[in-house]
Amino acid sequence: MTIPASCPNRAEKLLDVRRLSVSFPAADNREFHAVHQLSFHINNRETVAIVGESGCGKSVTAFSIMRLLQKPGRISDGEIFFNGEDLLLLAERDMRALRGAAISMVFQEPMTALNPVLKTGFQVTEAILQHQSISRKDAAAEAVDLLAQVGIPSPAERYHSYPHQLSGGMKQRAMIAMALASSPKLLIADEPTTALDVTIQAQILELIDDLKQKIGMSLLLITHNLGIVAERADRTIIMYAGSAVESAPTRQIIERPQHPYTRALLASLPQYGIPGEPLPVVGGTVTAADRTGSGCPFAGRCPFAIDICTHHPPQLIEITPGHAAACWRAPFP
Amino acid sequence: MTELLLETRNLRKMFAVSASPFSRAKQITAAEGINISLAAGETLGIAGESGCGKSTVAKMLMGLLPPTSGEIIFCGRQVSTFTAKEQSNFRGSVQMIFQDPFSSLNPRMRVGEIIGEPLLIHRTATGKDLEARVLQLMEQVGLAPEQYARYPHQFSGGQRQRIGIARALAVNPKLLIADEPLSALDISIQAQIINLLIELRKKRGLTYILISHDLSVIRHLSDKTAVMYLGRIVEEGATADIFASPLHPYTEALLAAIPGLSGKRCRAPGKVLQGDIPSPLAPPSGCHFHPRCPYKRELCATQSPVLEDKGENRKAACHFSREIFS
Repeated sequence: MTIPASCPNRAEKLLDVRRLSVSFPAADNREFHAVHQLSFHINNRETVAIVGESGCGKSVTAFSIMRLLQKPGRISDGEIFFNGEDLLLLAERDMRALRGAAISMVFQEPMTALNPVLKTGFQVTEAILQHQSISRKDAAAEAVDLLAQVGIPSPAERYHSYPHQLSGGMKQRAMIAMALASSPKLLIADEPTTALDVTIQAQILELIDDLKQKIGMSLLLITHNLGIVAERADRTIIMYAGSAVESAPTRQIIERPQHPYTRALLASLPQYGIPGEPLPVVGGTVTAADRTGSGCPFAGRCPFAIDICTHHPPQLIEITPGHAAACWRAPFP
Repeated sequence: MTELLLETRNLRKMFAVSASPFSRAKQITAAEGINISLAAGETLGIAGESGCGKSTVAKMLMGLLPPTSGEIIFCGRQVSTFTAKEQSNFRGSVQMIFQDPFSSLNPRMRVGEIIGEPLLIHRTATGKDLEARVLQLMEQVGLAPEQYARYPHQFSGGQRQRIGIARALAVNPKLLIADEPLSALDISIQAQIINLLIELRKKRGLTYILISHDLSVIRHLSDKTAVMYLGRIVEEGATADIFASPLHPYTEALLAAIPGLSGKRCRAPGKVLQGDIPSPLAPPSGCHFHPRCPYKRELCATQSPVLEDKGENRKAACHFSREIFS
């Protein structure tokens, strides 16, 4: 496969998510909001990271963009514009043409994302045939080519390997080959390296970066690892309990975090601690993204909480140009 | 010299595996030449990626896997010569915290029963006494007394890890082996468990062996570090020294692979370690690391380096560490 010349580098919004809410039915006919009024955008060729702990709604957001949300979850509000088109209004047929073609996704578990009874190369071939009308033979040749591009040694032989014959890193490479089969404009990578060893993790991130440059795509990186974000993302969105609590260029988030949750997250990293000394921690546990209570979802754990925090939810507002935080107490010095 | 709590001499574990039911079993070496020594109150970190043998070492130290050869010496005595009674005491003195707080707790037992079970097995407490001991343990690890009768599924991952720690502490162990105790937890919860481990170490004078692939956790908690690759220790020394200036190319690569918060990639493009971790079924000749090593020379492919003294209490298994890291 030939990778097309890069698309023009316009600072235009490729993906624009507006006030997205996703809800799941809960007990007593109530609704549980896994994602609540989330807005963000990704420009052409940009890498945006969504960071948060388990249950914060980051994966649900990814699946909503792909329109792969499992029932009974449903998108209860909002718009998702991709290239100026609202994905939520598309017919399933049109969405299927887009999915895997213009928008692709790499999942966390390469072990479970590949079909164990089909040869790896066959699965890549299928991904190619899904979106291109070429012969199976040509598609197979292209698949070998793709396997080579993602750095799989002796790709012609690996084509005939079953997933269990590949290491975790190789499987993730095969997954990336499938995701990139049709040169997507947007790649959503949901914890792409969490299941991998550190040295392999570095290889995969490097590979995604290289391919991103080559194809000229945008990247939505979903992770809990702030170190990865610091190295790879242009902008970062911190999510807590279904909402974006902070959004800014990555350097600013790391150097001058403005939301108490972001500050607590960064402070609790062992990288910042003095060896052998206790780390500063946020008390309590992550509250479920349940929005039945009013006020800021972090108020219960926040050391800076004041009266207003428990009564009125703060909005995500710009504190300095490009740097927004949802906190009544912001800005912090 | 302070008295050693635990020492191993040339510990080795081989497994027989066969590729298919009809082929002849092949011997693979999961760990070999493991020499560690640990004084009371010290924390040893064992770092390495999957398949490096770190969990095999932990299981041998726990007495869950018999070593193929070599000796484990606990409090100055060979474990293999223990009588049944001593064996049972030894099992109480060495306890383990597991990686997955979801699968390591019996879902049908109440928290109180889970924490109390080791006390029953080792016959240290019964009845009212038992309950009082369990409640005391729960308090020590930060669990509330009203959670005594709850089931594991009613707890979050961090709290379950606390239950696992309380269970390990029940029989007053001397040595606590923690096998990836944090990797299943969220970041903010990881810090809480790290702090709990630090606090318990101070209060109870515990000795830890911390097994992790996360070097920042090892740096934070351990006094000494051993780096393992494909069944062998490749570098060993004081944690601060290893992190300041590694003496083995693999340690260097591991350190470089941790994404730093500085945002600067500490590696130039192409400096990322190439290749996969080899299968222990077909380990490379000579130095196990040589196919991936950026500094390899001819000698490395033929001759296996031994873990040797490099001065200043440091050891590394590399033919050329002096030249590479001077």
